[in-house]
Amino acid sequence: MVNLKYAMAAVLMVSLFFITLSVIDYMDLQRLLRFSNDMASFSTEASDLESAMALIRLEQTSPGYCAIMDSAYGQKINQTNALMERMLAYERANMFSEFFALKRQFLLANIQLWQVSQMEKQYCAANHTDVLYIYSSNPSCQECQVQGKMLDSVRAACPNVRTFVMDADEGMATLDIIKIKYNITSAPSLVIDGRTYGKVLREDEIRKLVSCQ
Amino acid sequence: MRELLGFTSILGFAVAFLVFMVMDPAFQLAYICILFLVNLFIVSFYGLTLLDERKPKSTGKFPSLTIIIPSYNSERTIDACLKHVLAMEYPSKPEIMLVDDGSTDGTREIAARYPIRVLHRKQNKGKAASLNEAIRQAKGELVACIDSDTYPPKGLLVDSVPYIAPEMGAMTFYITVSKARTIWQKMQQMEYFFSFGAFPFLGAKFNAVLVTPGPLTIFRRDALVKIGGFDENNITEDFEMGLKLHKAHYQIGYLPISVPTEVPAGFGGLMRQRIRWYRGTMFNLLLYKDLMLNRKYADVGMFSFPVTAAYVPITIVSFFFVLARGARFFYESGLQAVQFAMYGQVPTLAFDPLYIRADMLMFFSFLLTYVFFLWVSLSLIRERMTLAKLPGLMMVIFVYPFVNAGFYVYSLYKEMRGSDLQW
Repeated sequence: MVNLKYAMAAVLMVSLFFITLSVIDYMDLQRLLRFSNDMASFSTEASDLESAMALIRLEQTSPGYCAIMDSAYGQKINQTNALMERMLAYERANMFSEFFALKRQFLLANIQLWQVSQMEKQYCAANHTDVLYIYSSNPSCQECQVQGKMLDSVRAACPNVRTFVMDADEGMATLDIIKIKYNITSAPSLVIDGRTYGKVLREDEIRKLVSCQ
Repeated sequence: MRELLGFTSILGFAVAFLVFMVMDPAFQLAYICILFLVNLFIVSFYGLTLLDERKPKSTGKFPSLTIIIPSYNSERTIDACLKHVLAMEYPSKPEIMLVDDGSTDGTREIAARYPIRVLHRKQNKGKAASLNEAIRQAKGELVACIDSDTYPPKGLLVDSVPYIAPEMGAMTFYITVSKARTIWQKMQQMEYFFSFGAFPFLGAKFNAVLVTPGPLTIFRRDALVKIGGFDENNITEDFEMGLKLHKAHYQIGYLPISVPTEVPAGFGGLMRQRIRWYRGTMFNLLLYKDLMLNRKYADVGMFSFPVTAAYVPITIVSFFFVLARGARFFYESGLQAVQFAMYGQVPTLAFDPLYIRADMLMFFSFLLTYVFFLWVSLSLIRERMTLAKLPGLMMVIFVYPFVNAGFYVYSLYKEMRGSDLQW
């Protein structure tokens, strides 16, 4: 009789444990699903802009294309920092599922958008300023969080600024080339108009550099 | 030698803290999972006992009874205590003995005003010695030991004595806090609901009540005599008595009759009381280690004693786990706050239910079981959860576990160091 009671308690314990694990797994999947959806639309928009840019490069005589491109761009890249923060928070909360593939996809979409923005300057004579923000997803990088927050403020106040975020800890060929090209050795780093700043820049300093006082 | 043991314990605490500081998050999660599993097993075991609808059977008998009140410098509470004791109903007149254990205040004068027998001791020798002396002189078949700061209800004896079965060595009750005024008392009020409510109520169904609470317990005098009375050198004589009764194969009963008692009003008093309790717990667990996983003692040996024994190291280790995690959290948050302040920024606080982590989820499930057993405890004495109790509930959930674990750590240190034991 005594043994039966202990066995029943053990069965109940295991059942409750698995129910809890199932809830944890469900929440993991929800995080993954939600971020996958956000990521899918972000990637699609990056690809859309890349295709649009390819058309502009083919038909260099249509100035109307550049206007379409410019207005489309403004909204689409506004979410990069928020998306990055959510991705990092979700990644920290997840127990079973990995964000590895999504992180790479996010990085790639940012690189695509940054390249398109660079080309837009060349082909459409656009006068915006591109800010490339290299951060570290390591939670110990406190400066990265502050820098991200300041970039958000700058972007909100300066319509001519476009920011792109890239995780320095990711191992991707394009990122490695960018790091070499701009001599990026630490995070956070900012690349503004082709010049690298390997430290946290204050909001007023950034605004000065992007000519938005 | 004792100094060395004290130093070793400090070293051990430092190592535990550092290990948890640098521990990989995966191992931290594994540790939480183990704690969660242990908690689930205990909750499941008690939860299943809820289905056991057996109730104590009345013998219909009211044997002769002696009430013993050990007292030392209790002029503040003794008057109210005696009023309550004398108001208790019982078919025959109980013998009432107050043992004045060398009080230096007005206890003796107050006691002299009541129609009770007062035993005077010139020297203060402690509660256990007072009780033993009174037990030796007691004439009743049953002995009710009541603390001088406890106020038993009028109907306690008539409602409980018939349920003291011949195989029982003691009958215990639902000890509650009399008038919770300070925040620490409000916290203890909620803690007492758990400690003396659902758990002993369910534990009694499989004879696994380990403690005969000092504020009020009714004993069979022959059982006390057979086991040699209270251990006069023990600082938690109520826990020792419970274990001693089980070792002699006596049962310990429980009835959910609320018995209000005074509890420490401030942190200092609470700390002194708890250190005495926990040092006594550690001492008695070692003293009665032969009960551990011993089938001869049924559920006491296989469940309640091992759970109590496991609780001590788990609480101590968890203290350093929480301390290390807290230190890391505050260190990182502090650094972040400094960074944000340096650059004149304010962190954004975003709430997203999907930010809830696995360990938080386990904590929530633990909290749910806590709330469930609180509800069972309150319903046993038809007590309502009012707004006034909310601060106590918050304290018992968010402050008490850590503070209590700290008391355990300090008790272990004092026990290792062999500091003087004082009742």
